[in-house]
Amino acid sequence: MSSERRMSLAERAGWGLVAVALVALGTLWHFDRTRVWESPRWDDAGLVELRAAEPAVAGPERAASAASHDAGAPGPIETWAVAVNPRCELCRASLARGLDVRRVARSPVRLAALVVDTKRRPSSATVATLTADELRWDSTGAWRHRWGHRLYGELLCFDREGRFVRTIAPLTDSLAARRALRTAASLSREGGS
Amino acid sequence: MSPTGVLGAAAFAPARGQGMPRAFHPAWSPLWIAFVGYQWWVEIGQQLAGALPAEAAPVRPQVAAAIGAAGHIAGNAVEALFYVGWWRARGVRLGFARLFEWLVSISLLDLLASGLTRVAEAHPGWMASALEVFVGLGALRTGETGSGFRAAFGTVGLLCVARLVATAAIQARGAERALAAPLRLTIAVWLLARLANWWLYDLARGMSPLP
Repeated sequence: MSSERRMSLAERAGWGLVAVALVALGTLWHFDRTRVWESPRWDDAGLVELRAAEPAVAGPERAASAASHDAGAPGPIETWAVAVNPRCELCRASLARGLDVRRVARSPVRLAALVVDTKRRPSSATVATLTADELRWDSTGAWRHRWGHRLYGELLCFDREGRFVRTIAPLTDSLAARRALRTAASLSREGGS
Repeated sequence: MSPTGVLGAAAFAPARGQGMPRAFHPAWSPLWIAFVGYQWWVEIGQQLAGALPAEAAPVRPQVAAAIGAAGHIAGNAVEALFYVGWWRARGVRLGFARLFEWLVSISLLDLLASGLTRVAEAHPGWMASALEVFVGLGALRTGETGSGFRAAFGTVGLLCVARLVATAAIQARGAERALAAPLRLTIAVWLLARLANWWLYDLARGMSPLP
């Protein structure tokens, strides 16, 4: 009988702990989801330019294809910034797939890399390894702490004025790349009209 | 996989608290568990292989897949431990090793769902629509953005229901009870785990969309 009572007390304590943990998690989730985050801006003062984009030309691929497809086009209508942590291989894969998507869709998009979660200014060697039209360093942690974004490899899309348009999930595989391709293709039609 | 499948009378002689049949002869159990772990390793490895760049060191995805596979098996052990503790508190003794073997075996349904999800994603159209019934209406990443809710509850399909019913049925057999009480317990545990998953996914992603 006493054994059963002890078990019952232990069980109640266990369930109590589970309930407290669940309520704490739910409360944390509620505050996180109801928090008002700043809308990202590509011209945010905390973003330090490490490599400037060439004016009116989206990048090497566009330059190569410009004569055949977009000659006379007014330049990129959007900037897609891939959130990159230099130590994250998935980020580099997402960046490479972003370049592929842009090339395949011949989309009027400037592909940039935004170095995030990096306290010290990235070295020139790190900058050299990141293939993108433009490179900026989030020196103040705006991406995580003011904009509320947390997944490396995601694509933040900005219009010509640097206003936030949409986010595209990290291009982790061919399926994610296909979804981004649909968006890029719609921009191609928009840019061509 | 039928949870009522038995191998032979000698192996399943009912004893006090041992009404649950063995999934396998004891000698085969370690091999079977290792095989299921290996299958998880292959599945997770395939998922990671498509995500990482070609120039990435091949060892890391394999290590990550091994950790993931070990996590699945460990999760089955924790789940078995929980059910054993739950029923013991109600005066019913379930054998941990037997329940663990069953849960590992039943987890093949999850493995099947994972594989079918990849097949469905690779073949959009009628095949994907048909497979969605089995793997879950939100399992396929066809939408533009992924949320924590979809990641947690999107996998509710026939295979998920089968897993819950099989888990409850094997407990009912071991506890020598009707199916209703074990099914309520299993669904409650599943719901709580999914709820926690939903919130954890959302906390991990913030304002970022899930892949």
